[in-house]
Parts: sequence; C-alpha cells; structure tokens
Amino acid sequence: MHSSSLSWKSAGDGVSDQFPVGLRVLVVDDDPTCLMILQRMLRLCRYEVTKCNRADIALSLLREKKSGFDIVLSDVHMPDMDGFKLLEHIGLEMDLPVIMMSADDSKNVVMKGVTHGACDYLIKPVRIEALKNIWQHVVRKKKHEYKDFEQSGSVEDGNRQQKAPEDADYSSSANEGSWRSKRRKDEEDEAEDKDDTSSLKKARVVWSVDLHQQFVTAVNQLGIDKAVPKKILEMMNMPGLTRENVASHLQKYRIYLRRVSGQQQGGLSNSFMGTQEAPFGSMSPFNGLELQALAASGQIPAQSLATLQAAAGRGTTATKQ
Amino acid sequence: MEVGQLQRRFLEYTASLFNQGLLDGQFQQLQQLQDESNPDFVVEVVSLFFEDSEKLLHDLTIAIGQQTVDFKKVDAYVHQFKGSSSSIGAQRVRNACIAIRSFCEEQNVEACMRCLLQLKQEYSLVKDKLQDLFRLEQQIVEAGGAVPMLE
Repeated sequence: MHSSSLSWKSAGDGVSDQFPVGLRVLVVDDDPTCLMILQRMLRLCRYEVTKCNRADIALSLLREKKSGFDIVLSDVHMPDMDGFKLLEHIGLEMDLPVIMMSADDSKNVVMKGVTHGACDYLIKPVRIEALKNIWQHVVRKKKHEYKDFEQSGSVEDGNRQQKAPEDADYSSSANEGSWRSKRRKDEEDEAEDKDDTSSLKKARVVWSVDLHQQFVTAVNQLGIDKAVPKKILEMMNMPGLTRENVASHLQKYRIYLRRVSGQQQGGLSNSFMGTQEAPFGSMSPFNGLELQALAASGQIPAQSLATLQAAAGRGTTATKQ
Repeated sequence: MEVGQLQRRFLEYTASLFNQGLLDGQFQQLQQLQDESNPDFVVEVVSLFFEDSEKLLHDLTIAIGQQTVDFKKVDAYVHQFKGSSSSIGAQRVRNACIAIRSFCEEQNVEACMRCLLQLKQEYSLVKDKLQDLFRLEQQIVEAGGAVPMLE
C-alpha cells in the first residue's frame, strides 16, 4: 500500500509538520470553468488536486485508490449523478469527508447536505479563503476515529499499531477483507492531550465491502424494522466495533434504502434493466450491495438473493421469483 | 502609445466594467490567481467560459423553443450558466439567469424567451468587453510593460 501524500508519513520522514501541504483532494464538478478555477485555487493552497467532471468517474477513482484521497469536494447538480448520491456512496464505502458545493443556497438543499452527511457546504462562487481551511475536516474525522479506537479496546489487528513507517496508510485497505479504523501512529502523543467532548462525537470506522456485507446480513436477519444498533453489533461480533459505529452506519444505510426503494416504483424489473439506477462501475444492480439492499428493504425475498447472486456470477439476467 | 498610457487605459477600462456592473469581485479573485507560474490564467479560464457558454446557450435556445417546454431541463441549463458566470464574475449574466429561473418556476414560456434574449445580450456584451480588455493587456505586454491590477 502506498501513499502519495508527503504530509501523512510518520515522523521518520520528518515531513508531518508540513501538513496540510499535500492534502489529497478530489474535486468533482461538471462545469469546466468552475473545475479549472477550483483546481487552481486548491493548488495555491498547496494541496494535491485531482479533478474530475463526472461523478461515476470520481467513484471509480475512489474505489481504485482506496486510500489515495483525503477529502472530496463535489458539486450538487451534476448531469450523470446527483451529488447527494455520490455523497451517500462515499459515506458507505470509503467514509471520506465530503464537502458539497452549489450555486444554490436554498435552505432545503443545504439541509439535504447536512442530513446526507456532508461535512460542509460551500456556496458558489467559492473563494480561496473557504478552501484554505478544508483540512480541518480531515483532522476532525481522524480524531474521532482515533478516540473510538482507543476507547473500544482491542482490535483484530491491534498489533499493527506498532508497525514501521511504511505503514503510513491510515485509510482502510479493503483488500485484506478486514477493517481497520483510521489512525495515525505519529499522532498518538497529540491524541492523549485532547479534550473530552467524546459524548457528542460519533466515532467512525472504515466500512470495507466485507464488513458492510456482514452488517447487511445482520440487518436482514433482524428485519429492517427491528434492526437496532445494539442487536446488529451483537450479531456482527466484530471486536473493536462499537454501537456508535453501527448506529452511524445504519443511519446512512437507511437513507440509501429510502432512496433505492423510492425508485423501485415499477417493482423489481426496473433495477434489472440496469439503466435507471446508477449504471456505473461495480454498483450495477448485480452488485452484492444493491441486491442485499433490495432484500433488506423487503423487495425481494431473502431466498431469491442467493439465486440472483449466483446468476450475477454467471453474468446472466435473473428472473423474478 | 507608450506603456504608461496603455496601463492607465487598461485600469480605466477595467474600472468602468466594474462600475457598470458587468464584472464583480469574483473577477478580481481570478486575477489574484494569476502569477508568473500561471501568467495566462484569466484568459484561459474566460476562454473556457466562452466555449462552454456558447454550447449552453445553444442548448438552452433549443430547449425553450420546443413545442412542450421541459422546464426542468431549462432550469438545469440556467442553473449551470448561473454557476459558471458567477465563477468568473460576470454579474449581469448571472442576474439574467436568476430572472429566467423564476419564470421557469412559473412555467411562463414567453417570459422565459424574453429573458433568454436578454441573457444573450448580456453575455455578448460582457464577452466583447472582456475581449477588448485582453487585447489591451496584450498591447501592454507587447510594449514591454506589466499588466497593472485594480486595487
């Protein structure tokens, strides 16, 4: 696992005090003029910028380089995918801080940003001053995660904490099929001095595909209406995971389900046409996540899930039960 | 014309654009993003804006000219134009966009068409003025001078 960010390497390299220089920002906006201006502004803030004009491309980039970015800036109105959808996906899959932007300053849109979990909302035209401080969202998130990590006791790979400087990658690696909460070894001293406002903070964990599937399985078994964080946690039986982690993930999951079920007006057949709902990358209707979501929302019986997944594996179109 | 005169002319011209409300503070933000490492930034961004706007206006005209107008589509185009014009500081163009959007909400086709005409006029105007401004800049540079910035 490599990290291209200079500033996040451990003290061994001696550059951690340059933070936030080199902060890796992914900026998504379908407007080429805005995109060019944002890129220039972010570069002047000495961030490492990747620009993107389509949400589906942004999502593939994020999936490809799971730990390649620190923060995402996205416009709300984009032709191929609503910015809030992108926000949801990022929340569920990568759990990176996301800042929304729009020329729209109406209260409902800003509120939507808040409820969907955006860590900030910028009104366009964005000024460089607003961008200079976006690094705070990255630090805030990590502090929450570290605190939770500390308090929740042992973790599966707890002994990795003492790993050598090359393990500078603080984001999760879904490849290993296990989860790792984000942490920075060289922040350990800092973390001990911090204030005690933990009761209001929600701790975050990185939800790998496997972990999320375990979560969904637990939710399905309990039934979406009866799935409370405490029970889900019990069923998942994952040391180090807290009730708060599950609660916040469940919140995002419910938003996702609401949106998905709201689009299933014509029944199951819609999603299997493959065009209406997010037809990009691995989030096609035959992706495990979508199928399980449909199962969880009661749209397909759980028994069909296995059939459909098998069919997906063979690449054929599944038929309804 | 010698450099000093050209520079004064440039400053006066720029000031007049601000006074007429054609440009706003955001344009100055753009100028501040320009430096030796990026000496043509403003011209590049504005050229990109022109290119993109021409396409937008074309699509917008077609959308408003339909038998049955899809106001959602029209609104989306206008919203985009509002965003891009505001990002370069083209204040009057942006305001014309805001006007169209309110008529979109009312689903008033005629009013939208009138506003579209006005939008096109504002766009043409600011385009011409900016191109004049860039020409002045070029003259200064060719005469060996530096392009001054309005405070």
